[in-house]
Amino acid sequence: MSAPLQMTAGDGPAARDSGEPAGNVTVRKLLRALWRDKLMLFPLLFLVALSVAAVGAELLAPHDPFDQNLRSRNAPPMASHASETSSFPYLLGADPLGRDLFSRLIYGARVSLAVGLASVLASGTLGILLGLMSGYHRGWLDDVVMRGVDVLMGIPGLLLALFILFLVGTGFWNLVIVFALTRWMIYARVTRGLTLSFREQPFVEGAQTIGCSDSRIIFRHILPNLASPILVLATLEIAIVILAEAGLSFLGMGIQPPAPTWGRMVAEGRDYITSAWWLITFPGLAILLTALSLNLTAAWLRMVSDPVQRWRWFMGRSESRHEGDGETALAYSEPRSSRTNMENSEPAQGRAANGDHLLEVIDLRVNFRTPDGLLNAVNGISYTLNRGQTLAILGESGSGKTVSAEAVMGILDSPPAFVTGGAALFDGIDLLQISPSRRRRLCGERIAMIFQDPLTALNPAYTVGSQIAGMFQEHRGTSKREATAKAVELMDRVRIPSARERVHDYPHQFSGGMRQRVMIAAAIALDPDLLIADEPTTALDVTVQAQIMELLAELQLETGMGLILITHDLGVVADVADNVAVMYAGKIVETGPIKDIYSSPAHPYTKGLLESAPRVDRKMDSLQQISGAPPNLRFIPSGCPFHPRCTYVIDHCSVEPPPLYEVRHDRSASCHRFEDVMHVN
Amino acid sequence: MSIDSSCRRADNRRTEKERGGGETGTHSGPVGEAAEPLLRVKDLVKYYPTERKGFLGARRGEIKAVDGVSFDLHRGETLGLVGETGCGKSTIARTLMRLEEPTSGAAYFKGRDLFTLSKASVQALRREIQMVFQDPFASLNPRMEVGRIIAEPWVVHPGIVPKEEQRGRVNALLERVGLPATDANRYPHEFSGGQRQRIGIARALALQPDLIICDEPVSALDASVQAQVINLLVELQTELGLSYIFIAHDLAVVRQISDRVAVMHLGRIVEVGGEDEIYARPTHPYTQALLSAAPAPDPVGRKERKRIVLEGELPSPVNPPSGCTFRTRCWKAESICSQDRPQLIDRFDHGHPSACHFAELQILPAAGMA
Repeated sequence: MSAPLQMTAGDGPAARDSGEPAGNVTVRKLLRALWRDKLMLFPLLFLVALSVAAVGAELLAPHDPFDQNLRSRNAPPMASHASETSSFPYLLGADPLGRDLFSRLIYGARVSLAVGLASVLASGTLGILLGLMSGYHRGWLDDVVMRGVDVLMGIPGLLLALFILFLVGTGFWNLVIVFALTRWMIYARVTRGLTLSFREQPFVEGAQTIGCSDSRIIFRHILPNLASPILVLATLEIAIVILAEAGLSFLGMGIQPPAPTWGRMVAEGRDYITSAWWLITFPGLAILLTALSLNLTAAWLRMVSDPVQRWRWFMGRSESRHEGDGETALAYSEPRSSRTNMENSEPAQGRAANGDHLLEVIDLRVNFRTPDGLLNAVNGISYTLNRGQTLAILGESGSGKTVSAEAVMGILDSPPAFVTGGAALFDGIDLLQISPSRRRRLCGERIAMIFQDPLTALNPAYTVGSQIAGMFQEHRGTSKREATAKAVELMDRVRIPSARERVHDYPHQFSGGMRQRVMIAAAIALDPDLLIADEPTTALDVTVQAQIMELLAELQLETGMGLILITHDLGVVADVADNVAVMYAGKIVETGPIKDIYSSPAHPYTKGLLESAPRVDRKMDSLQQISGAPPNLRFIPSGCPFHPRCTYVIDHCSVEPPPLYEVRHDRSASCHRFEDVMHVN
Repeated sequence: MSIDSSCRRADNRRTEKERGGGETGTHSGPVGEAAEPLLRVKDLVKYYPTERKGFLGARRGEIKAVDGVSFDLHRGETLGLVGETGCGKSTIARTLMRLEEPTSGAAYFKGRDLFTLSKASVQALRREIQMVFQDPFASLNPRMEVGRIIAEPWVVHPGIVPKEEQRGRVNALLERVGLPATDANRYPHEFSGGQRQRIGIARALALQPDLIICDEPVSALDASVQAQVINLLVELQTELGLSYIFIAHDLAVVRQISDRVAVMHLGRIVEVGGEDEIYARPTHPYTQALLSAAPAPDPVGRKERKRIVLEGELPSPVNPPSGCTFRTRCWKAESICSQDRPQLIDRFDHGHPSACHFAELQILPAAGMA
């Protein structure tokens, strides 16, 4: 995947499905997950043993389950057999008719599993078909099916089952029919919900546009994607049906005697609970263990098939595990030489203690510990920002631009992300070292951040006014009344029309551009020294984008705050930045004043980006293009990470990572051939 | 709202109908005016009903997603549709693909009206019009191998490529879009965004369509990959004589790929013309504002650039302003703008019509070829 970091977000169909693409791969992944989670062997082995017992009951049972022997009535476990036909003892004792309990349990497994599987197959098929049809076609069919579901869900299942069995009589197939009729809606509901969401997916619309018939879309495109959630559901359902069958048998409405079933064995053993405890204990245990194993298996299947869950499950592991994984997966390690070189080059940017330095990031490193291995997101970046300046951090998805800012703000999702080195000096204070409470105070008051999507960054349950006012109440202890007045002032300042009326509106009542203004108002509420803006205009239309960028520039001019602008948009950078740092594969590959870099880039990646960008003011015969795609952060190429895509590549590049060479007194680029890059223009 | 008032002057509607299309978009196609266009869209309207529970029962409102759009597309030509969120550009694509039913209007593809075709004829038509989707991560079935994804059109339309030849054709298509033939056995999640978009293009090509509708095909891609996909689309066009409807919000991308461009605002085309006409000599204030707001990768000139920053917000398509829908944000608006909906007519004999009472020619300097 080009953007492995997207996995951290965890939602979105692509991320979800990337975990288990197809049959054979799924099996291999399951086996690997099983190996990692060895505890799961117990329930799975139990289920395997149970299935073997059920299939091979004739071979495995030491005695005939129907063979009565009145001399051995209620014989205790391990009692020797009273007749001469077999020397094998009553392993788990004998029942009131002298039948071997162990053999009856084995035959009982056959009944339980057969009822469970057949019922799940029947109810599953019925429910999935109805769910697919009603989810795909909607309309009246959907209404009918869903009302049926509602009604059936409202009736206690066991009562309904008893009633139907009372009408049609007992027996294996009648049981299966009863379970099909009382359990189908579980599948129907889930299937319908998933189908509704899948039918809106572009790949389903794509199938429509090539002319696929409805049935082909349903069975070839939608159904395979439902496989894993349905599998989890079905596993759970087997447990429920086995329990229900035991219950019905206990009540005498299940499979009829003399066929051995666990439920009736419990019922029969009830009378002897004080005199022959084994009669009720062993069938009870069999039911309990089977249900437990199935439930555990279902939970485990859900975890391994859903990347979001798998992530959490993985992160719950002990630290030693990470280190073990880390050692094997360490794909990228920085050679010492380049680090020292980089520090050497820093005086060029004015490393010396200087009152103007607002933020100084030194050799910051962040990695993600994921189930698939170590992901090197930020690999030693350094930059400085002065008061009143705008630094743009330019990069593509997965370049580490957002992660590095989140590390500075202390809002990394940790786990999976960990800062593994470096410092971030804000006015001389290392943000990576101070206590969380101190950082929280600092980050509200003096450092603020705005995000790409203001709808998710604002709390939908509170009015925008209270969210802006909250800044004053939290940090300054201002009274609510006064804070609200200040909120109105701020909303005026970011030019939200009729601020006084709108202060009590909720975020969803604002348009995207206005929401971003609200975010900005909250961010500048306490006059921060530093504002970090993470793709502040990416989600906005171009006319609104211009408004927001203009507002930010004005505010900066008024307050003299430092601004870090994180973006992928070359044009936005060109419009507002003083300096730019271009990131690629977790490293800064070029940095310096914006005008110099745009007029003569020194790194082939920067040059490639500038040349490949289509322009509003000119149409080119064809666009210059950079070949290939950004690297997977798990497997960053050796030497210079850009070398597989670079047109200037020489043998040296794949071996020796280029240090950040000083190009001019205020510029640096990490390319062995920066001189050639700059001069061939 | 009457669909009559859309793109032609009401007074000479009949004569224009006889001539077959009016001024709208018959200019500067690579094929002369006399040639029958490949696709002629006429007064396309798509309203989505919204239900609002009023005091006295439900009151029905409508989202006017597309409100009377007409354009022509010639063979081998690329028409760019550009505009902001909610301007209806994607809805046009979806109705042309029959993923949505239009409220009214007609679209003549090779002379046949797409909107009146029977279900069976629509299936046949799928062979001639294909689509490339925006989201390369969601537009391929995660459970299907790439080879099967590309070959599926031939399974659905038997008789185009015999079964024994499909394998070879898949390989050829993969190689044509710049992927190794061995990729046929892999699954979509193993590819990057740009590669997936190539797979999507290969599938669209499988049926050898005449027209491909590209709905934001590069907006989800990384900057360094966008250019690859744009160049690929252009190459394929020259090679196969394809026509494109290219929908995007990125003005620069649209300029690079389009022969003609239609600028949309709230469900209507406000200006349409050749790429150089729209970008170098815009006449509609909205086009001018869009162009001036588009950030250019040119830090040297940023101080001198005069930028039109629009005030206010995009109006709601549920209740668009009367008259000209742009007037609430327009610096030229006068009272006539709220009464009279401006027609899309050629106002400067430049061959590019614009829908503004106060249309004014603006000459934009072209960037020097550095």
